[in-house]
Amino acid sequence: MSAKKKTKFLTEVELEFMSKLWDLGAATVRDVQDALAPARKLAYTSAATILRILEQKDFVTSTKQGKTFIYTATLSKDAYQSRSLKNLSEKLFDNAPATLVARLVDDDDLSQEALDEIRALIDKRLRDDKR
Amino acid sequence: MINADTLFDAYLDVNLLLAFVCGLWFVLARFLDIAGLSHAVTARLKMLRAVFLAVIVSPVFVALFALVSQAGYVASGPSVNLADFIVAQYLQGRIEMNPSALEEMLNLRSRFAEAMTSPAGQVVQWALAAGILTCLARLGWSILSLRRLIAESYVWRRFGRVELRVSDTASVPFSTRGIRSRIVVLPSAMLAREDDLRIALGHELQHLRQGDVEWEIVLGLIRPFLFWNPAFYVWKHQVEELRELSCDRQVLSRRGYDVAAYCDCLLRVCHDGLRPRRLLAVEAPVVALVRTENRVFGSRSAALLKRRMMSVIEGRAERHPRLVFALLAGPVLALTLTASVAIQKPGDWSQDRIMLSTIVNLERLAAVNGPVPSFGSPGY
Repeated sequence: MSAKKKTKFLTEVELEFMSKLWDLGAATVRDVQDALAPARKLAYTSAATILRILEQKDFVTSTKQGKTFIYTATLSKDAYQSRSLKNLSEKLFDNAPATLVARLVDDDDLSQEALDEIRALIDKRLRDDKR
Repeated sequence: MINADTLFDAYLDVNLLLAFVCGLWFVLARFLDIAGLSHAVTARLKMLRAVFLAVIVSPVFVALFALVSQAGYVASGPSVNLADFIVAQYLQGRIEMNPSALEEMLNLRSRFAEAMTSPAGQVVQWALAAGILTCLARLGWSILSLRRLIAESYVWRRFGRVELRVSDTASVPFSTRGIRSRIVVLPSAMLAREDDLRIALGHELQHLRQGDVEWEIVLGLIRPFLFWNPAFYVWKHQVEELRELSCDRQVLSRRGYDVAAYCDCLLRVCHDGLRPRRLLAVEAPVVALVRTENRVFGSRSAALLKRRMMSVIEGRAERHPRLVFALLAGPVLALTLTASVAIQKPGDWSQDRIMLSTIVNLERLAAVNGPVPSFGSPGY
């Protein structure tokens, strides 16, 4: 088989697992399984498989402590958010982040508080760039 | 030494025989339905495969039969050749037909061979060669795509020579094989659906157990050479349908899954398969849980899914599939191999053929000279 091309993005289930792992920091399979919604009814083996695949994709790393593996995310939530947004901007907004933001701001569901928050973030970024 | 004409004759024979057994199969299937064996899907599947194998090896059988006949090991009796049989029946007055038309019909094959040497025939031969090469290229491409998809998937488990893999790009579970290992690929989204995962895995492992993947590879390799023959596609469609029906039944009886859960799983996988992800080409040598490709025969996939669900809901157990197969396979295989000898070109001369030729010549003379006067006619 040829060398595996590393996937840069997470599937829906993997994202669910990574979200829990980002919240928990370092966790065992059982920790992640317990953190998932009870309605999920995911077997231990399936959860372990998903974490092992995440490890093969280099999204997490594991260390063995006794008989259990402790999993830690190798990629921060912020870094993945940036990667996803960049991909979205490239694919859907013709590589123009301004169009993406414009679409977001045009959204009627956006509250005044959320808009203020966005403005504060942009101001902060502009101040940082001037330094 | 085998020359090109012999090879072309054998190729033509295989195509003709396939069309013949296809017709024979539908008659037999109707007979089985009437006999209350409509649910004997495993026996039917085995028989379809055995007959297909007989068709493919028929040129070897014909060559062996010719050798044995020449050595005098076959008792002399009525000829098994179809053309000789028709001539004998005609001479005995059992067939009402114009002798010239009959001779023309019997010489159809020779005329076809002659036509193939003409410029138009050469064009047909080139088109045939181009078609075969195109199909081989498509097969090669689909194998490469499949290899890429497997290379990008992740190993889940290995036991013996079976490898379970999880893929982000595959939308439908399927099984295939490498040179040594057998591979089951499951969509990664399925890991979150415990029940579907169990059912899909059980189904795919049953395909491996039944040797369905190997048969799919054989059919995939033969397809480029028979691409123009509609009988091949009819045959393949029958095999695919019986394979899935048989697999569903075996899985449900062996593992005791809930029928409703099984049907739900098929529907969910079908729904997932309709999402715009990477689809496997029709030519890919894989056996999938459900077919979702929407091509010329798109509606066929939906019809097959419906029949599969009806079959599992009906849930009639198949009793003694091996016995049913053994009872039916003998006569059907004998008929197929006899037909393979019967459709061969007849020997150049026989008493009956000379007689037919004489009748045709007399007819022609009569046509040239006008009607022959008979007793009581004015010109006698």
